[in-house]
Amino acid sequence: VEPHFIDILSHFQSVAPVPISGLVITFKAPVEEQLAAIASLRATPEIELGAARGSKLAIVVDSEDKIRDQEIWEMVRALPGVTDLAVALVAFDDQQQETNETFVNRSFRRNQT
Amino acid sequence: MMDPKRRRFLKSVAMAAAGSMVVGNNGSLPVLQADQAVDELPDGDGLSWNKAPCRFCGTGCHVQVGVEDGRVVAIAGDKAADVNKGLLCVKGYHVGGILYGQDRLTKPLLRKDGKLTEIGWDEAIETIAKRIFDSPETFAFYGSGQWTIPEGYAAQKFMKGGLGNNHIDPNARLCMASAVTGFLGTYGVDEPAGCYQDLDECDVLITWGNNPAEMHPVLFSRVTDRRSRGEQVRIIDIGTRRTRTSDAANDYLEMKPHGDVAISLGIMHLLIENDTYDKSFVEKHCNFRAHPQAEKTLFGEAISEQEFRQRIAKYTPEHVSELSGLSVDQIRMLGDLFADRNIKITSLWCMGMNQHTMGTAINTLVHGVHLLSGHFGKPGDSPTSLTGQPSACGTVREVGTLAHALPGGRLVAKPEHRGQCEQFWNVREGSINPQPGYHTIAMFDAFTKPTDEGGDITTMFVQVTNPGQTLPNLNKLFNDKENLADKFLIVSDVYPTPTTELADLILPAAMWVEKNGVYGNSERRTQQWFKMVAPPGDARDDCWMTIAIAHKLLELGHQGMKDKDGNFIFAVRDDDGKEIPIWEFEHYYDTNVDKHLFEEYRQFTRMKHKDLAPYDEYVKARGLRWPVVQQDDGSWRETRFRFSGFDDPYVAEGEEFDFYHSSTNDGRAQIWFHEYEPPPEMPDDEYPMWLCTGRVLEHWHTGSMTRRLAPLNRAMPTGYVEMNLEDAKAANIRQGEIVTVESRRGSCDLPVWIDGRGRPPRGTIFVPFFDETKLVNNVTLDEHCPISKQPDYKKCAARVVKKLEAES
Repeated sequence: VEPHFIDILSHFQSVAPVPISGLVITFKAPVEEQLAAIASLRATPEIELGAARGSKLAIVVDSEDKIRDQEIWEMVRALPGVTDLAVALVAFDDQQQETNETFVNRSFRRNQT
Repeated sequence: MMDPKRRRFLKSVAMAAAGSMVVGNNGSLPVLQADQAVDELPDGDGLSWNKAPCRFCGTGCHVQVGVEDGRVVAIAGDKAADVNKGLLCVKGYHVGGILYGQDRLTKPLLRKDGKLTEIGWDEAIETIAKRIFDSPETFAFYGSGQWTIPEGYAAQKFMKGGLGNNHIDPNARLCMASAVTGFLGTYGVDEPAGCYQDLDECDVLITWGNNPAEMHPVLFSRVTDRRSRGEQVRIIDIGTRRTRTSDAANDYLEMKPHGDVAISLGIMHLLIENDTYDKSFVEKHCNFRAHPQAEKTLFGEAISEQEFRQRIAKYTPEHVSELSGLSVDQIRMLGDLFADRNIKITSLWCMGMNQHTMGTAINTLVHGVHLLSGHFGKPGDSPTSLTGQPSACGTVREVGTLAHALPGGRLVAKPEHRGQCEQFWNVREGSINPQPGYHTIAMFDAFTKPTDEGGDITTMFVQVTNPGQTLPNLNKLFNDKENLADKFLIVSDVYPTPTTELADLILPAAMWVEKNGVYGNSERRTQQWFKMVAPPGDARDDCWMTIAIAHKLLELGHQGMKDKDGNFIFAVRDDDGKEIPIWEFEHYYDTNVDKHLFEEYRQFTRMKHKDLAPYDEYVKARGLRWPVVQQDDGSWRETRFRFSGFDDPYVAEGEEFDFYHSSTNDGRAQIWFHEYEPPPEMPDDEYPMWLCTGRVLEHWHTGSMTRRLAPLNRAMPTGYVEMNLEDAKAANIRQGEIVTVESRRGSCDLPVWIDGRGRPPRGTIFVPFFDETKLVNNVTLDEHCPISKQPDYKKCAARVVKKLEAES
């Protein structure tokens, strides 16, 4: 199984705090037929279930540490009937905007030809 | 540890975003609903609310801006706004934060001995004025569809009326110039006939190389919300890769690059072949048109219907299938759809059709499909282009901040138009140069080419845009500036960017609600707002900068900065007739300069029937769509559907349609024929992939604002290259691996996202351009449409090389 792109995002956020993620799960068939997957989601305390329509289900993941966050992502992707996991919004603890260090002192053209 | 209250808030925001993707918008996008009406917004001690259009795209959503202690502290969707009815997309929800990135530019910076050094405004303005005074003809002004209308108008008057220099062009040349020439070539006048109401009333929405689910999410939600109410709206997405729009579509038609040209020709072929075109509409309201054999021109030459029939005959479904990649059945389906006059069809497009070496051609062809089939001029039945910037229409297309144009649809090449402008501006006869100036590509070519090799632009002023990231083929058109000591780049901006990196002089700018403003959105809606907070440090208004430079030139003795009566061309007087020194920033807000400029500009708008109401009418409204015409009772009435007798006040009573600016002067629109042409660069053995570039939901254009917003930047922190799984497997490339994307022009290192948010077909890659650390425009092509001069960012030949291989 190919890793999801969120893994790449995590790679670029090596110092980022644990995210709160708003996600949309897409199932192969309507949500109401996904009894086993829904039961697994409900049994995961870090997951809150939101609106469902057709084959799509909104969830929020709020975990205590990055390892657990990763485990939850992998668990959701591996649930029966799941065909896609899309990110709607990722919110972070850190309220700071990007800083001078990340922009002003950066050479935009470094390592580019 | 995060504050529990904040954590709950963030969870609610995350759930709202995810929920709206599921419920509100059929899985296509996060759109957040303001939960209170404007009059219900809390306004406790010190908190006040005022209206403004969103700073980002061309949709023109209105927000309510909450200000407390001189700082924007809250944003709400404006339920009183017709455009968005209280909705905001995820960018709009965060728009207030763009003012508060920690690296705001706050002091003018002059490069001395290679280092940027703080200087005062007096020195900055004098430095610029002296360079212009010494060589006015080698000065160029590069502006923007993010200029407010007064800013663009001031720049236009300064250059063309004051300096007699037409080297002024906007970044909108890169995003919607082909739409302009498409409208001009078809109707003889620019901008859409319809409005957003088309989205509320169409039975079929066709998106032509367009991804509104991510790029114009609030507009797209108007369509998907209708479905959630049980209405039947068929969405047909014609594109070169699957996107979130495709996910919401009933039909996804995957075409080859340039396939849109063949598809539109194929639809017209079927309408003729099957005798299903709207004979009555065509007979009464249309002519046929094509380029003369010798050259391509904006208005072409007349051809007969018989000639049109002969030329279109070869675009059979089978031939079009070969050219476009669609199946014969899919082409026939489109032909049948347009043949059905019992349904209403809206076509929507943006960069896909505009950033195209056949940009003018494909724009006129899609208009032609609608005209030939009679799907025109009724609510829901319309060809409609969208814009990507908040005032590409208002400031660029209407004020005419293009190298060949004058305000109100006039042209520098026409003596009568120059005469009218000279009269309005009260400047000497002959002040305006009759020769069009450099368009964007030519302007940067002349700036980054050594002077002794013909590079005859030596000083350039860039306002409100970031060409160091957005120009195509940056190695040719921008990066060489670094090595040219005699070229002087002035950049006014709010944050450091790849453009400021090569600037010789950086001017800190006020932005959005730190100044007064007027924008014009995609549906002809003019929108006004007032300054609400002070800009940081010494940042100042772009419009003030232009006026201050003009006044310094006046002091230096430049005659063009005086009108015929010897007055400063931007003179503003108080009620006692005394001139207010608006060129001194401490006096700039002694009056409303925007209002003065807008009222002066307004008189230009009537020639092309793009009438604007007085400034104060816009203060009261959430925008008005032109032509705005005064009624007998003194009120001002906007127009939703141009050229249609039931709504347009300039169509004579009793007439169903009148294309009253027809290029053939007979009230008719033009149905064009163009031969299909292949793209200028195609994949080959050396560069086997198609490269398409574009945008993402989380970031607006070059990301210079949204990258400062932590929630958005962390949701999408890096540029990437989107690859098809089979292509990645064949090249042994893994998810997340850093690769080099190369073309004949340059390269860019990017992480790979296999079958990501968008899903490109085999042989195609997609790279967004928001990431200033990964400049994909080193790779893109600067070939452009011969009529609109708009470059093609959507297709060129490239290859993906594993990083180690690239280094070896």
